[in-house]
Amino acid sequence: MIVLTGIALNHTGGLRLDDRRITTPWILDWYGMQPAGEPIAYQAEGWALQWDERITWNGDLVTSAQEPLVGAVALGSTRVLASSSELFLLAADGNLIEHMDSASLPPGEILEIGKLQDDVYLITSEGRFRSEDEISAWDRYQLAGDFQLSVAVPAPVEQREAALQAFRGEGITLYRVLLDLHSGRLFGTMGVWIVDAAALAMLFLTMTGVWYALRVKRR
Amino acid sequence: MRSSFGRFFRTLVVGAFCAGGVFASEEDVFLAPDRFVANAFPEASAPTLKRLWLTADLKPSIRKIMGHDYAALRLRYWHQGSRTAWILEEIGKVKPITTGFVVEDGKITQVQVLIYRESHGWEVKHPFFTDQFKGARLTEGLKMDQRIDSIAGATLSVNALRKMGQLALYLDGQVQDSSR
Repeated sequence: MIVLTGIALNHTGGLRLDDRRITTPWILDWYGMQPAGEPIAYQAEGWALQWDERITWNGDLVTSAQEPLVGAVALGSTRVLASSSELFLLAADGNLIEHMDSASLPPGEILEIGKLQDDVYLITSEGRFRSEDEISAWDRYQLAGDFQLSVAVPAPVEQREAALQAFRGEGITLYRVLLDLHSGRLFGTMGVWIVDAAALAMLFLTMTGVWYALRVKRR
Repeated sequence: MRSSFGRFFRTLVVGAFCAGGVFASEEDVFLAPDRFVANAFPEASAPTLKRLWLTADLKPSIRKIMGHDYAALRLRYWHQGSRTAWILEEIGKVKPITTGFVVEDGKITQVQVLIYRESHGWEVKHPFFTDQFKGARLTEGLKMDQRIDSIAGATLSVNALRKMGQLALYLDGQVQDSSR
């Protein structure tokens, strides 16, 4: 294995090892390319899913947010995704229209998002607010209970798979896998020690072989 | 000799871990975006939010400045008289840097790094760097007419801020032209 991977690595350019990508799930799992925790999903005439900061819309990577999503609503052709401090406005095809932060949001931490007709409603730690002028201004809102709040739902299997794929991206290069196989790093610290021991053993066998051959020749 | 080497090695390892802890910060908010907008218009309450669609007419110039399309289809800005304020985002190495720019009479008057998410290059937040942008105008080639000195070890963040500065000047020119 060491010899074969060594020869392959010696011809990285010719074999295009840097261009070939490995996407085999168990190898990517082995490398720890697995998002932490469980995904958070919301349905808003499409699927918004956040997994380990990365946000996907219908399986396509859109953006990332450090804070967890608290909801998503559909307003005509716009989808509004809310985290506790930001709003992400998406087109129906998932293109990011705008990223809104505290400069264009009502005060307080966003706790929930809902909608009624063409308006977005936010419940923040400072009160209840209704969007105006296509979400460019916010008005305090007193009435309760007549708008539809977004609630988290379990992520469907296909959305989960698509988000996982988006997280893993294009995988890792064949060069990297062969290099880690060659050095033993693929199997952790123990693998490196085993490869070191194998290299020393080969050196020992060569030296004792030469020594034995010379000894036989002298006799 | 052996023990002193051991101490040296342990110091290196511990130092590396400490440095990792210091530099691997998640998200540093240096100035909340709403505070930036309030500071940009101190003499009155901040003007209402406006939006600029990055239309097909604007995209070629934006691509020339940024080296790629802007990450969003629409940008927020605040406009009063000859002054505009922009909150822009550009990736330094792997994560976006959120930066506020104030442009007045076609030149940059204020630059403030608002949110920094990269692990290296946070030095760009300091005034010794951001003050270099003050007074910069946009040339016909869509570059700034002032030299912005780089910072060793923060090249990608510096480049991101340079691009955003040029973009703020370009967008200011567009909205000022359309408001005349």
